[in-house]
Amino acid sequence: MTDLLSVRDLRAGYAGTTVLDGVDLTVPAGTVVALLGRNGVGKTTFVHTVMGMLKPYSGSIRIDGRELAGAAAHTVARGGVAIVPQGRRAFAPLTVEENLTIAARASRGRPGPWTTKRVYELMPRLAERRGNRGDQLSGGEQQMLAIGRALLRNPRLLLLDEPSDGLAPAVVDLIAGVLEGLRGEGIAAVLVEQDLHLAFRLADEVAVMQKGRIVHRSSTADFRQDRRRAHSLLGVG
Amino acid sequence: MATHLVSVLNGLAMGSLLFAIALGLSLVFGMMDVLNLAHGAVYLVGAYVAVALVTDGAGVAAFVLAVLAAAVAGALLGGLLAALTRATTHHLDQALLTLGVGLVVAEVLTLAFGTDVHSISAPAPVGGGVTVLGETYPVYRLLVIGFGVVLAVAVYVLVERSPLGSVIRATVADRAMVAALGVNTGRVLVGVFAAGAALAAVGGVLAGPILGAQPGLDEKVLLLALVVVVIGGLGSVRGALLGAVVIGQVQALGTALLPEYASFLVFAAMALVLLVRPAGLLPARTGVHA
Repeated sequence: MTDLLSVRDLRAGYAGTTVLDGVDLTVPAGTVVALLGRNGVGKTTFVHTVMGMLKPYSGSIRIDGRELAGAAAHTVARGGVAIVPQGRRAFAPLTVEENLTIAARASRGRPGPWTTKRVYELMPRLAERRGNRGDQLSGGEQQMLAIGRALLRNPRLLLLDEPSDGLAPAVVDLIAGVLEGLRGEGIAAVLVEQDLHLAFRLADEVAVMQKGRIVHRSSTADFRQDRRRAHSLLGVG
Repeated sequence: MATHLVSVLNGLAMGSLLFAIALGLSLVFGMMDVLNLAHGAVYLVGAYVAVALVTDGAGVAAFVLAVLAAAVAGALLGGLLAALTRATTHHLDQALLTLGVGLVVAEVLTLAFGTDVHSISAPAPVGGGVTVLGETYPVYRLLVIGFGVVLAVAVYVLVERSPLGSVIRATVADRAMVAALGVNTGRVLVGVFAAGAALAAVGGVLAGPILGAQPGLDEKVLLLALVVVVIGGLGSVRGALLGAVVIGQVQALGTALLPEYASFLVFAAMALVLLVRPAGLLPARTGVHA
């Protein structure tokens, strides 16, 4: 299977500091890779750099063979990448419908299976709340909105940054159900997640980051079997 | 009572002009954190376009031509400023850059038109007065108030009800996220910058028959527009409208009732708002960061 995302020797950071110190990571088409690691190792920085929201110092980011390192976020988005960012970042002054319409209109050049109607079918709660503003939604509803907005890009690669963060367990379960429902869509994903149960439930493969580098890569099943290794890599059992 | 009515009408006319001028300043600041200190100079370009094209006794056609010419000149200047300020992300650099452009533009205008105070006459057909509750009031100023109302409705529909407006409001709230959805925010920013500057220049033409044109007017107008934006709240259309109406009234009623304190009252109003509502009366909602 060909690699949809291929990152080589990526270096990036903020204001001269180095957060990503030579990241190599590949994501085959249609595969979900969980990116694990302790707080502050550079997971969010990695996601932002791939999305084009942060310019890398050096290195290569290929999406479907096309070099996009240093490209603007809207160019990366048009290359088939979408992000469900940490903190959701729903547009507060816009209604649910307007939040989705921005993504739908911006994606007219990328036809695909996802329409606003289908997003509402996947997440009926959003349809009920379509007239409410972003800042009137619960955390779970904002997360659904962020997922719906990303899907309307008809992405080939989805970057999910801590989708369970700050949500009650029942809501996490709901979001996990939505994401599981996407398994058959053939969308590749990088899933940054602190909740290991959720990561193992959704991911085919696991990559572990330490100090700005990928230090381990295996299938999810292999990773779960060796608990001592998992503990030493993540500091959890 | 009737003299107060005249003051209220004067305030509304001033408020209409201030709304047209402050709107671009507010949206540009809200969307890209650029405080465009050349905004007053763009206004002055419009005023001098009126000086050049609207001669005494000129008809409506010359006035409309001046409005169109000012809109084009303003849009070009706005586009230039947008391109220049994108070259740096440092706020102080951007402010100094726009201040420099503003000084150069104002100086060029002084070279071209001299230091004289120019008065601009209202188009002949609407140059007269009309009796309002027993007081004679200039028809032209009533038209300016009407322009303000039409502009407010048009901008409301565009920004609050159209797809393009959604993108503008979302860009004010969270520009990086809008870009991540595939929208070329740079183009949106240039468009808003150009449109806002065009409105400021048109404001210069429309204000011509009331305020005239002279060196230094750019700074006075910029200062008033800044006060409007601070009172209304950054990046907010409704805020700019409310701020403009408030400052128009404070200025007009202040001049009528407390002439020796009039110039001070505008800043007192701003200080009062900042004490009670530091973000302004109707600030734009920013992104939700849970």
